[in-house]
Amino acid sequence: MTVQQTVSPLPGQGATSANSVNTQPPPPQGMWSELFSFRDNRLGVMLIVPSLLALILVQFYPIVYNFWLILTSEKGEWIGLANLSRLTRDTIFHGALIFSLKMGIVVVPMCLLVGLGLALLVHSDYAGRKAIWISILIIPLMVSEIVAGMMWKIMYHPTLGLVNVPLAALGLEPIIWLVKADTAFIALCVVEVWRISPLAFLLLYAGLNQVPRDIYEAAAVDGATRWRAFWDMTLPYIRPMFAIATILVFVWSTRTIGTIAATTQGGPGRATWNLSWYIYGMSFQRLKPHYASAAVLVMLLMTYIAGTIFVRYLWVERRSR
Amino acid sequence: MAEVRIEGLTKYFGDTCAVNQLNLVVRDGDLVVLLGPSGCGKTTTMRCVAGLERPTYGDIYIGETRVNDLEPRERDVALVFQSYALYPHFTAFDNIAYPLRLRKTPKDEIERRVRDVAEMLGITHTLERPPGLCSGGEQQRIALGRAIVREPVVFLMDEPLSNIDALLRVYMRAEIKRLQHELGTTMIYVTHDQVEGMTMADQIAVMNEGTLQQLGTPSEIYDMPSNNFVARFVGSTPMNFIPGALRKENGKTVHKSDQFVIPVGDEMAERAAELCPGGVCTLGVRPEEIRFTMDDEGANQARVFLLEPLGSETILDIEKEGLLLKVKDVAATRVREGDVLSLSFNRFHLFDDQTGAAIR
Repeated sequence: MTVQQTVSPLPGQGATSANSVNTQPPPPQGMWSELFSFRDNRLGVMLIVPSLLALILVQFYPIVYNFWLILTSEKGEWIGLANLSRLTRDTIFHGALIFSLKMGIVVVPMCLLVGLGLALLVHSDYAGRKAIWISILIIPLMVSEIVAGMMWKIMYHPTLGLVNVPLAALGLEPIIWLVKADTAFIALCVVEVWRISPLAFLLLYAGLNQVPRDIYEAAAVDGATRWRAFWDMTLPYIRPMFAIATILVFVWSTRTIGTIAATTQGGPGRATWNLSWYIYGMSFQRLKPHYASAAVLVMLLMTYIAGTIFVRYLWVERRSR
Repeated sequence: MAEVRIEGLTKYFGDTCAVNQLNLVVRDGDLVVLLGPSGCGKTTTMRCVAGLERPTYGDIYIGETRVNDLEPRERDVALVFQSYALYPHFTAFDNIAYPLRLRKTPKDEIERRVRDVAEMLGITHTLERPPGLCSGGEQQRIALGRAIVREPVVFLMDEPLSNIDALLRVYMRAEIKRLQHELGTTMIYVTHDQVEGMTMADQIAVMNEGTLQQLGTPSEIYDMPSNNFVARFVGSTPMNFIPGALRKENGKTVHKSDQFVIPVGDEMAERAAELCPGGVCTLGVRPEEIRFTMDDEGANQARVFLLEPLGSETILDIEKEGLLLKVKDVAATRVREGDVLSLSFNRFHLFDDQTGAAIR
C-alpha cells in the first residue's frame, strides 16, 4: 500500500447548522412510557386487548391451574411438593424423560440436516420447477401424526412392509422392527424425521431465499470457494431461521404421541414411553391427573430450557444484521 | 498490475446477444470506462472479466494468462458492485478483512492493512459497525476498501456511484480517480453516466447494443465522435442534429436543410460526396459551437422560445420550422424569449444517414 494521504471529510459533513435555533421537541423518555402513553396509542391498546384476553385464557390460566393440580392430591388436598418429590423416585418417569431427550438428540440434528440438504437442493439452480418440489416435499406435514404412524406401521411389517423388501432382496432375515427396544427406537426416529424434517426444510428454504445473491458473487471474487461461501455467507445468514427450526423441531419431536400410539403403544414393555405417552397414560388410564401435572411441568421446563439455549446460541449471539 | 485484453468476446443469454464480438485492450495502469445506456452489454463484459459469467465465444486475458476457464477467485480481480454486496452479518472491519482472511494473511498484517485502508478512505469510525448501520456513502467506501485491501491486479467497478446522492457522487468520482492514480492499478469502470465517464477515464469505451462504438480519450470521444450514437450519448447537453443534404451554391458546398444553409469545407464535402449517395447526410453540432448575434439581418435566423438558465451559462432553446436546437450561451448576453437570432455554426460533424458513421 503506497498511499499515505488521508481523505478530507465528506462535503457537508463538517458543517453543522450553527446559526439555526434549536426548536426540536425533547427526546422520548424511554420505551415503556412511550408504549403506555395511552393517549397516543389508544387504538393500539384496544387492538391488543382481545388477543391479550385470549392469551390469558388459553396460556396463563392453564399454567396456573396446572400448578394448583401439582400442589394438591388426587382427592384435592393440599400436599405441597409431594407430587414433584414422587416424580424424582419414579423410574418409569425417568425412563420416559430419557427416551424423550434421546429422541430429541437424534431427531433434531437429523431433521435439520435433511431439511437443510433438501432446502439447498431445491434452492439450487438444478431444481427446475421449485413449486412442484416444495409441494411434494411438504406432504408429510399435512399428514396427521396418527395417520403417519399407521402408515409406517404397515411399512415396518415384518413380511408385508416395504422397509424389509430390500433386506429380503439381499437374502437377509427380515427385521421385526417394532418388537425389540433398539430397533423400535430407530424405527420411531425414522418416522419422526420423515414427519418433521419438511418443517425444517420449509423454514430453511425460506431462509435461503433471503440471502442476497450478490454476496455470493462478492465472496467468489474475494476468493471464497463454494464450500467456504456456504460456511461464511449462507449459514450465518440463515442462522435465525435455523434457531426457529431447531426449537420447533425439538418441540415437535419431544411432544409426539400419535406416532407412538399408532405404532408401538409404548412397547415393547415400556421401552418407547416418552413424556407425552407417560402423561397421557398417567392422566387418562391410571386417572392421576394431579400427579401427571408434575410431569407436565417437567416437560414444560425441558422445552423452555432447550428453547432458551437454542435462542441464545443460535439466534441472539449473531453479530448483527 | 496487468493489462486486460478482450478478444472477440461474445455473450449470449438464451437467444439474446448481450455482447457482440467485443475487442478491447485495457493498458496496464489505465482507467478505462465502459460507457453506454442500460442494456448495452457493459456490465456483462465486466462480469465476464470477473469470471461471474462465462463468455459464449472469445477470449479474455489478464496479463499473459488466458482466464476464460479460471474461477473468479483465481483471477485476482476485485469487484465493487453497484449494490456494494457487503456481507450484512459481518462488521465493516470483517468485510474489508474477508479477502485477506481467505488468503490466510497473518492476523497482525490483516489488522494493519485494514486499518490503513480504512484511514485512507476515512471510514475508521465505522469499522466496528455492521454495514446496515452505515450511511450509503460509508457503505460505498467499505466496498471500495474491500476491493483495495487485496491489492488486486485489476479493479472492476460496476456503477459504484449510482446509489449515492449527487453531491457525494461528484466528490467520490474524484476520490476513485485519485486512488487509482496513486495505486497505479488497472481499472475497468462501468457507468451509464457520461459525466462520470468523461471526468474519470483515461480511455472511454462507448458501447451500444453489445458492440463497441468507439474507444478513445474523453476529448477524442467528445470532439471526434465516430458515429451519431457516440455524438448523441456524450455531452451533458446533447448534440444538435440537422438532417439535410450537401448542395453546390455559388461554387461553394453547403449543407442545405429545410431550415438552414451551412457552408461546408471543401475537404469534408469531397469525402461526404464519396460516401453519401446524393450528398444526403445529417449535420451534428454541439450546443457550445453555435455562435449567434442579435440581429435580424444575417443568414440562418431563428427564434428563441425558451431559456434554461444554469447559473454559469444559459441554454437557449431555439426553434425553426419544426427543428429544435439547443445553444449554449456562456457569455450571459441579454437574450430574451421571443428574440430572433442569427446563427453561425463554428465546428460541426457530418454523419452518414445510412450507417450513422461520422464523415471525416
